Amino acid sequence: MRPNTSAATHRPEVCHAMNQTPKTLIIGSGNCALQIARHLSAAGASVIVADSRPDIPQSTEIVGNPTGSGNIEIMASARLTGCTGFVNSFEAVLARNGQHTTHAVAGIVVAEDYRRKTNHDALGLRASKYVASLSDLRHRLTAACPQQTETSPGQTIVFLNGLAQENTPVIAGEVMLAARELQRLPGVQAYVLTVNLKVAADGLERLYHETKTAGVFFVKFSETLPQIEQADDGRVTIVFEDEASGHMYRLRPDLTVLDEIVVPSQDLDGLSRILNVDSDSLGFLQTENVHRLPVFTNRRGILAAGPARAVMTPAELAADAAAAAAAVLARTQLPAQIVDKASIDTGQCIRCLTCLRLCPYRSVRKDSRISVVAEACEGCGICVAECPREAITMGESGAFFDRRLVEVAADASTAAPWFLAVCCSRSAGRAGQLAEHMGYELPEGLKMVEVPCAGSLSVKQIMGALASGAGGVLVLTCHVGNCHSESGNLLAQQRVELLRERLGLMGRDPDRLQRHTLAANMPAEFADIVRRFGQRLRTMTTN
Amino acid sequence: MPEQSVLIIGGGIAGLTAAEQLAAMKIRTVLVEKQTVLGGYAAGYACKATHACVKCGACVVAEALHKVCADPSVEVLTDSHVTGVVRGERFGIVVHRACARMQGDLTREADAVILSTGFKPFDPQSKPYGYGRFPNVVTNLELERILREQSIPVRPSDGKPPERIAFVQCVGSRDEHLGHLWCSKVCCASALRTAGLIKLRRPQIEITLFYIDVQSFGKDFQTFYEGIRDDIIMVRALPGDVFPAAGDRLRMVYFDPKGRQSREELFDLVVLSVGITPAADNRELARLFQLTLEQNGFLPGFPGPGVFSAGTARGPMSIAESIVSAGQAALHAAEYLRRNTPS
Repeated sequence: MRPNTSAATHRPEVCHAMNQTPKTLIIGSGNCALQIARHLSAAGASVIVADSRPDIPQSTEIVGNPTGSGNIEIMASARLTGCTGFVNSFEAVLARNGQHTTHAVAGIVVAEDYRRKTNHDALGLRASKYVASLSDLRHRLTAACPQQTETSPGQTIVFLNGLAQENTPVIAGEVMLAARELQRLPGVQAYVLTVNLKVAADGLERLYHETKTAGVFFVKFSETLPQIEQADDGRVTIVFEDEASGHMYRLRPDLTVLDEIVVPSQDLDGLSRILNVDSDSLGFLQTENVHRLPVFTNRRGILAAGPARAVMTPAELAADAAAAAAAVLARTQLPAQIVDKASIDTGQCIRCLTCLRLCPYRSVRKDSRISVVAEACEGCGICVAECPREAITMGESGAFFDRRLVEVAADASTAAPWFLAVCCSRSAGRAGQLAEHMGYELPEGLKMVEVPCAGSLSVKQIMGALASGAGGVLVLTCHVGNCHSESGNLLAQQRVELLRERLGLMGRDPDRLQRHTLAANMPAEFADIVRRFGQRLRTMTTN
Repeated sequence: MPEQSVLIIGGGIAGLTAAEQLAAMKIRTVLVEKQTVLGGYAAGYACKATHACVKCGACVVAEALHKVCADPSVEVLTDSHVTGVVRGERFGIVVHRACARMQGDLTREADAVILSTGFKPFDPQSKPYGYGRFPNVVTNLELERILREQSIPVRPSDGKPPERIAFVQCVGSRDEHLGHLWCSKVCCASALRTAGLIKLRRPQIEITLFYIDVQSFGKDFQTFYEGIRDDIIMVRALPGDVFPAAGDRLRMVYFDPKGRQSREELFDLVVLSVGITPAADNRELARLFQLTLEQNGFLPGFPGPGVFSAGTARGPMSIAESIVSAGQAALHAAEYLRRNTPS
């Protein structure tokens, strides 16, 4: 597809012929990003690799043997400044040397490399000839001649690891490799002063063993940290008590090496806004929600891989690159599913934008009319429940609740008292099914109804259930932080709280409506919750 | 020309994810599982959520299982194991199936194979912790089952909740004497999350954690760790022997680095965080597929042409990491298929 030199003003929708290879935009040019490009190109897909750095390798360097592979377009010194559209039809605007170009892409993978933060401030040490950061040291060690490390016999080199805050296997691995390398130089004694030594990555426990065997001393701290002081000339003195022996030690190292923190690229913050994707508390472009594993974000067609989603070792980054490529290929070959998607009756819509504001997957398009983009919609039904005009409907699963309620009410009208457990199909629904299957004792009168997300259950539906004869309604959602649609469980909670208040005002016991959280693997807890709810309802009847 | 397909051995979270990924790439798969049910160890884990999800990932196994079972492009063979491999243009694989419906051999042809055969939990009977001799010494996997069934920890001896629990980390991991020079990666996360869950449900239970180094997990480990470490007693030492005491309690002796003295304490339940070790099947797989195992006895990451590996068969991994490795194996298998497609 041709780049357009105009900025991203409104343009007619770009058509994607079925036989055209969908193009993927990869943002970042580190190892992980280039590996994704290589995998996708090998699969015959076309990619654009864009990064604000000026020094991206040429496409021929990225793909060793370009025969039969897809085209790789390199955009160095390019920054994403805008993005409109939805999965399979994004229009990304890249700015390069003051020029803006618009690119039609099917998907976007963000894999911007990490930044490193030094621990000088946290440890109260200034850089001097006696104090180096881990990156400084690595730089010196990889420089042409090892003499530049300025070591001579009788030198003491101390690594401070995890003293400022808990670190990661990435850093611990680098510390051990560097300590082992320096220890091999004649006359050098290396120490690693560490709090928790992070060895939870492939090969690190073996490296720890080898580093110790090479003669590096490891001193571990759990209660009292060493006292570190720096003189005016920059020289450092470290005083500590060995926890195993109780002996005091004093070191005046010739070099003190400070560990570092791996943090996400500063660009991710802006990308999160431009791409309208949720980020986590640390600034990575993927929340900790387990439903986003491995490389998904809250928006279909936008992936966060490797350094854009978590701190990883090089081997983990390579695995992530492959998993991201697999996700891109899987996504582009999937037909757009059109069942169970929300759709807006434009005759009813008053453009209040409630749906646009609440859609966790950002699947609502605002044009001259408001519409839901089927390919971007995950079918949670939050918009259906919240639309003040009731202008939104949602296929089979949307109507399912109302139908099932009528069925249950009709079925139960002649029978004993009954109550409704409305279950999120991802969590409580699975737990309920397991509880039945495993033979847990479930109370009489329990009627289960599954909904795609607890956030799809409207105030009207809950009241409808109570009006149609249910003794009570139990709303069973995912745990906080585990909702596939991020906020569906919280919205359900808000509605339940509001209605409990109203029930009180109406003179009915608020406990007829309750909300609990569950996961798919909690059959015992499911049984316990419905049992207690049944009991509570019985006490109301007898009183 | 028959339709290309991939045979996956092992239906835990890695095998399920690989099948799901390949199905999404329109590649047919056969999933061979030796147990009667799919899901592997992770399918039996308890949810560790407290006031919010703590990101253990156990619930995603149920979801993956659900998807794979509903997918017609995945042929699932449970109660089955691979007994023979013939390598020609394709793999000819003999699968022995032993279930109520059938008893006998099947043959399947495949163009690539993914080995996602999982791990073996370390058997702690060789350790001086009294496992197998004292009923209230259990492994973390057994505690998972108890929590899954009863929601709270109970002692196997009398079914009553314990007052004091000890978690012993690194049982069979980071152990030079055993030659286990690896960290099992997941046990600190599992023990601390489990401790958090128990403290929420039964705050009166006192929990002590014996450890070497606490390993980071989750993205914001610092915040989680600062929260949990005040609720439990952390001892940076592994205990010596465990002795029986009155009332089916357990007496533990350890060197406490705080004050540098040896201590004796009584616990009602001792939980051993057993390590992830290579599955017993790895040698047989190596023979069948002519592979060389890794130094530690796990499967190599890139076993050989047309053969790929995923999940804990490759070494210790969390559920999240297993999912990534399954995506990686699926991609490599798909790339291999593409290269070997006659045009």
